[in-house]
Amino acid sequence: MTDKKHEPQTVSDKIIDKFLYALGAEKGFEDTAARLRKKVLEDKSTSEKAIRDALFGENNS
Amino acid sequence: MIRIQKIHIHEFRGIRDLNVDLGGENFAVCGPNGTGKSGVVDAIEFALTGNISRLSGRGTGELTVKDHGPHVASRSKPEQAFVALTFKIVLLNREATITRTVEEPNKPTITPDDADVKAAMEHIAQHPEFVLSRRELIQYVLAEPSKRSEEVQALLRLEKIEALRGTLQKICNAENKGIKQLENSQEVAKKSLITALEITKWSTADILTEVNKRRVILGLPELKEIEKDTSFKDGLAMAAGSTETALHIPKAQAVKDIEALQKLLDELKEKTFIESRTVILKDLTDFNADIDSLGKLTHENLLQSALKLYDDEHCPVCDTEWKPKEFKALVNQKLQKLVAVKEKKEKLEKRILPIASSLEILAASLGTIAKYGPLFMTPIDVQTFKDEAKKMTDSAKQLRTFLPLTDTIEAFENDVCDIAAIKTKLDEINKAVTEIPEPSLQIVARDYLIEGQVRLENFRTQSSQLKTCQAVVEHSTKVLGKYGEVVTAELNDIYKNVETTFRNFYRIINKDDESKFEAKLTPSMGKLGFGVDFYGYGFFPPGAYHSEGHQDGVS
Repeated sequence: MTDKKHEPQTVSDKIIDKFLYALGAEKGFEDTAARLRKKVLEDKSTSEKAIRDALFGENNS
Repeated sequence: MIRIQKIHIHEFRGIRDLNVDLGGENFAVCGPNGTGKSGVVDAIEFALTGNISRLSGRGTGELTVKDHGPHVASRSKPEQAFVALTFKIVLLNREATITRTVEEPNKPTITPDDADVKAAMEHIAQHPEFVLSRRELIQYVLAEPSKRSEEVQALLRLEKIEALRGTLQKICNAENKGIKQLENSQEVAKKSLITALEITKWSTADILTEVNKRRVILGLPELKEIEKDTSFKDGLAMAAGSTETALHIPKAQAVKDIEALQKLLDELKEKTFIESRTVILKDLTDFNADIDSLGKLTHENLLQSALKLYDDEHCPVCDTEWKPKEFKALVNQKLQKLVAVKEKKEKLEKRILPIASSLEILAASLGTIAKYGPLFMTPIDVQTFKDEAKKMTDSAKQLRTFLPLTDTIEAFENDVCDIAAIKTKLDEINKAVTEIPEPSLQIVARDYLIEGQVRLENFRTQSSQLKTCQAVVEHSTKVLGKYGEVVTAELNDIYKNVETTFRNFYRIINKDDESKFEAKLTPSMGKLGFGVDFYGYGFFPPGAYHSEGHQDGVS
């Protein structure tokens, strides 16, 4: 669940939040969704490196 | 949500001094032209965000909040121009006051200055859509669908949605490009294995037939199937007279490898290959001669690198601090202007890839034969093969890299390889191979299984790397697909809400003669169509058949 501190404020973040829930519900994508949540919603980054790290894990990107 | 209690506007926009107690009620501002109605809207926006939309954005190049925020009579005294807004934060049931001066718009005074009030203020600043001028509204009404989509996304602060989609797409594209190279490496390994196994088509049955023929000669049990850890030479070390210790040239295999290289060299001389290279070289040279395109191409490459190297804080070129959203928006805006040159580049890259693959296959074939050189009774110097193989590998790498263009042209202009020198050396090796005494059937069978296994393992390694890359592509493609699915559904919901609310408002305002008014927003990739139907004649864009009065009404 999204904690109160990181509750999405903008329309963009709310939509991305819904996407991450949907992705996290897919088998095999739970960890990817959690990493993307950290990078995009908490760290507020959409840089290629950040998203690569989130998609494949920092050791595999 | 907040409700405005009081507002004090001083020397701001068209207003000298205005104190209004709104008591938290809904309100409308009306009056003759030029009396400062818009100034009140500007003041509310300024107090809450520190910005005035009408003085920023497209078409407002010379206007600034600092220079044009104060009343014209106080234009040199921005410190005197201020707005104080007292409001109630409904959710917290608390009252707060925010005061901003034009001189320091980013340093508001907030009372009480505590975390909850600050958080509420930050939330409001994230939603600038509460202030829309008539000019902006008519812009949304009359815009082309693609422009409207862009404008509405900017209004709703949806740039991040597009930024994330762009990054996910870019990663998918890059990984897909990697697959092409790995597919080629796997194909090279496969061809090499086919040559070694003496089969004409890739079939498990054919492989087993050929391998088992040799295993029977060596008295080894036949293989029933080929699994991921199957070894063609399983049990070979135990078979009589089949030790692997001696380094020697497997004659039959060497003959096949020489034939394969000869065939590749012949293909280089084929008309279609020569013509294809000539046409591509001409297109590359023309592209390079077009200074404008070349400059744009270099610029495009620089911008792509900048996006890749940007660390969310500093420009990778000049170290200037940039906010991520602003940096990416600026670079992407510049990249948009270079789309045509980028497409031309991608088409050329696609045509070059088969040439790069041919070079890699030829380099692998030279490498295979070069291994035999030191194994002859009188070793043969195969440095020519090694040098040519390296030259071809480097050329293939440059062709795949594409930039700098001059290096790619140079790789094209040079001969693919020194065919004459290779042929001379190949003849020498061929002669030496022919002179090798005919080995016994057992030795030929043993050589077959050993070399076949070496190439099978190489093929497995290449296949495994390809499989890993394919899994990565599948993973990122699925993420991108899910993203598109959710985002499209969410945006559709937003547009549907806007459509319904807008239609209902219009019907209420014009209930006398247009109570059946209908509106339709049609989102599609990168576009937002807008149709209106006043009298049941069907949906048309607002600017199509409708009067300016109707267009204003819609605004």
